[in-house]
Amino acid sequence: MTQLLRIEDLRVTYRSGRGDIAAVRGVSLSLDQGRSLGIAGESGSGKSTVASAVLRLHPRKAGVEGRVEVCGKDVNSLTWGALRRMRWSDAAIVFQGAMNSLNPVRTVGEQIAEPILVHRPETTRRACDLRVAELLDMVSLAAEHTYSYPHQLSGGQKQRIMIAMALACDPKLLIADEATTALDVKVQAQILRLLRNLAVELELGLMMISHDLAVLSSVCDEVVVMHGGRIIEQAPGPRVFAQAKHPYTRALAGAFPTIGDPASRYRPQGLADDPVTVVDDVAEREFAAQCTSLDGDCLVHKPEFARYAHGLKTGCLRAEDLGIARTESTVAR
Amino acid sequence: MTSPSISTATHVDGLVGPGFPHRRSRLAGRFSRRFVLTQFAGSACALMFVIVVNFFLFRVINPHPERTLGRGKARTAEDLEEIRRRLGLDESLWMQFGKYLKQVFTGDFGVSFQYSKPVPDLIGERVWPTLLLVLPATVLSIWLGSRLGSRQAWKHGGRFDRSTSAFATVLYSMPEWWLGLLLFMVFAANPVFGVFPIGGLHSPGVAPMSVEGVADTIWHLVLPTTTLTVTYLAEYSMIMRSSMLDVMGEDYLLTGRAKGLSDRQVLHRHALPNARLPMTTLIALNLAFTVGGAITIETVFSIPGLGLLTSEAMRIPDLPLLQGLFLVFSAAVVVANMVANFIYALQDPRVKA
Amino acid sequence: MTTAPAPPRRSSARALRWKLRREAWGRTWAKFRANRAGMVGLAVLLVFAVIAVFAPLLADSHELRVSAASGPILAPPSRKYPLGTDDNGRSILTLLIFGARVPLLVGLMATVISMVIGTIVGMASGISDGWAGTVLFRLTEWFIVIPFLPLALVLATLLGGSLLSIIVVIGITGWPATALVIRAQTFSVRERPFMERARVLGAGPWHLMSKHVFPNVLPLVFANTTLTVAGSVLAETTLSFLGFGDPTAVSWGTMLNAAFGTGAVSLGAWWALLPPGICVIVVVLAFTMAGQALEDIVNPRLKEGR
Repeated sequence: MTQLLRIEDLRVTYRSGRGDIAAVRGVSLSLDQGRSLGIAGESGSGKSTVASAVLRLHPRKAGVEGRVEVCGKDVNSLTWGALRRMRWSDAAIVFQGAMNSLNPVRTVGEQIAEPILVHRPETTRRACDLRVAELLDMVSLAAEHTYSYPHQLSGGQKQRIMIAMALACDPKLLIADEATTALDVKVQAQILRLLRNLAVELELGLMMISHDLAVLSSVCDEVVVMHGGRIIEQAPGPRVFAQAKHPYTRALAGAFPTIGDPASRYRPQGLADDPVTVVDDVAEREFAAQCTSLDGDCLVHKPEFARYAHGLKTGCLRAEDLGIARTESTVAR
Repeated sequence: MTSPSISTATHVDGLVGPGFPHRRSRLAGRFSRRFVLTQFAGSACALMFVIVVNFFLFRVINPHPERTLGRGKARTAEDLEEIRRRLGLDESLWMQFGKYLKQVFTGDFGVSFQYSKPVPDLIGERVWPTLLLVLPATVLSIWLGSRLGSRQAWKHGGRFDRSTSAFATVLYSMPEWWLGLLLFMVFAANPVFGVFPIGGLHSPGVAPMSVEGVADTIWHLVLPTTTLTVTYLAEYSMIMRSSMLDVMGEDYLLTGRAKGLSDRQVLHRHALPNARLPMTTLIALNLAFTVGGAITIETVFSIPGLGLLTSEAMRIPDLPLLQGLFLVFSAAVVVANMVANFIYALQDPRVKA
Repeated sequence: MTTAPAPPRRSSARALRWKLRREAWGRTWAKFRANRAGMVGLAVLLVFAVIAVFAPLLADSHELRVSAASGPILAPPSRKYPLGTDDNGRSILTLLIFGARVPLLVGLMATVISMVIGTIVGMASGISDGWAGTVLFRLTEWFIVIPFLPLALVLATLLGGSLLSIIVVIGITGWPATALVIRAQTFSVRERPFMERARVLGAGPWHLMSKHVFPNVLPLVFANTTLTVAGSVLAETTLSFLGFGDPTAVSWGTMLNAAFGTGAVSLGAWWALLPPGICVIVVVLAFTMAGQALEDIVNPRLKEGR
């Protein structure tokens, strides 16, 4: 199977007036065609920065180290022209449709057709029309919606438009950045099903980013959990809940009520505080303070990111205490 | 057939041309009857308000306008009585108001003291020079100002932005007529650099309707138009810069970049059409101040338009003429505001037009 | 809160409130100090204020009288007349020093009038949901449409050209813009939770206005005032230039009027044109810079380092 995405030791630093903020601090990932990968984490964990690094979308002033390869191309060394050609035709992003990701003064048809005409200027008007209609059909929207403006659509419809737009140039890799956030549960389920089916049908590599562990575990083959700019745990999607050992992952899982279990709603679990700043080691200290089963050893001994049974990788010191067997020695993180 | 903003945006990058299928004629059936009616009703209310204010100003604030005539020059009691009767001031306020309304709606604004001509005729004669001056200056300054402002915002904090923004702030703090005087001194009155005429619209001995006449008039208008354009431009560029800065945080610009658009394409297709929206509203609000520029600049360059007429009428003071001029200026701004609302509705699909 | 019959708690609450307010002003001042443009503007304004107040000490007021003028007519700058003389043989420098008084006085007084009217109308139209609010809002909107200069000219013509009437004219033509800004701010204050709480506790409209809305719109009023003064100074200068204003008082605008009217500008006497014009620009610019600095502090969303 072809490898679509390979990220090696990615580090992204935002420069701000009050000093540098290390948003991503050494992340390595890979994704093959036809597979799906979820990235979980709360706001500030660096998960969206990873997504924007794939298309090199972060501000020019941001410092980027490490290697990002999309379809075999080293994204960070492409020229601007080559980078623009690569964007959307090799990898496309499904942004959060509920936010202002659609231009409010243009019809959605214009916006779906835009990347087609940018990447293949030779496309005829008729071919472009047909393609837009086809894309709308793929996301189960009627062709009339071509002429709609974003404000005339519901949240779910806007999200479908975002998906159709992302598929416009036949990308091999699809990145869904919080694509189901801010939708109600029923619509969320529809959009998830749509994404999963499209990914299977078109043999896409799908990278999903969300703060909602339940969503990711239901769709993705593999889930990684990020915190403070690092990957702290990796597990097979369907087994995240059952297997995750890292206290942070468990806290993240506990932050959502189990559906059908009213009791869980009255026992909210989770972290004591929102980790907001990720300036250097602050995150680690904050994390130590939040860890529900930790005594601060993490800070003294840098925890190893090790492989365990059943495809689990975790950076928790106490994994073995928590009762699972290590399979291999340390892996790079 | 399409709204001006969208078409410029697409022509600039030239990519959309024949390929864009999704543009239906925006004007056809764009405005519902309800929208048009609301707009006209609102403007009619504003006009009515202006008409009432006009009456209030000239009859209520100063119940003895005849005394201000000639600025305190002594007159006999009989003279004053005569003027009062001529102005209809001996009747009750309500009677006066009724008569006044009748006058307004029949277009009869009385006779100018100074010119002994009916006020509407006088205004009709003098309106053309003002339009010749104000319209090109407004169009030029809006066009240049939005280009300048959007460029400043797009590279905000850079050297271009800092230097031109500082310059715009200085121009904004400058009375437009002072700039006019400066240009007048250097480029009209100075024996060396004074290549432009010192005032008026026509040189003596040139037929106004001939080819030379038109060129001559344009030549006369260069300095005053430049003055107005530069001062308005400062203001419009500041407005555009801040509208643009607001738009620049929006997510759809990131979407555009992710799609593989160049910076220019993102600017012209996504940023500008949105930044123009607040710009339209603010320009409309600003129009009330634009009229002031016409008055002072026509005075400086002796252009025989409504502005010069106003400053002459104040000196007498020529009350019927002032009253008519005030109404014309206000009505022009009300109408321009309504036009701006229509343009806004064309630019923004979210307005229920 | 004010009805609670517990004197000690009440006084401590008041003390706390004052302490918080003092601290807030202290923070504002610290932020203002960090704003370079704002500080430059403030320094320039202080210099001009000192010049205006101490004008009689800086120059001889006798020289203002046309009959007492001894210098040559329209002479270029020389050692005796550092900025030259005007068409009556008076020293431009002396005129410039005394000419600072009228624009600053008129600018400040007129602004007080606009701010009082604008703030009251703005708050009232922002706080009232009923027809009163709507009527006030429409009124403001219509007033904004009336072109400023023609209105001011007509008013000045009808009221006559005294200093007081110029102040009144500029004051009552300048309020609608302020009213709109204050109205918008009042709306945003209304939405905050403490307003809900105060209403639930039974606060009447007057109490809400004076104790809750006003303190919260006050900083914005302050920033807006500074910007409005800039506009009022420009308005005074323009009216004087067009020949309205106290003919006996010297101001930068009347100096420019004379320079234009008597042909000094046509004769190329730049010393009659540049000094008063530059003074106007510098003062207006200083008010604008200080006002924008205040606005940035009061309304940080406008800046946001974008």
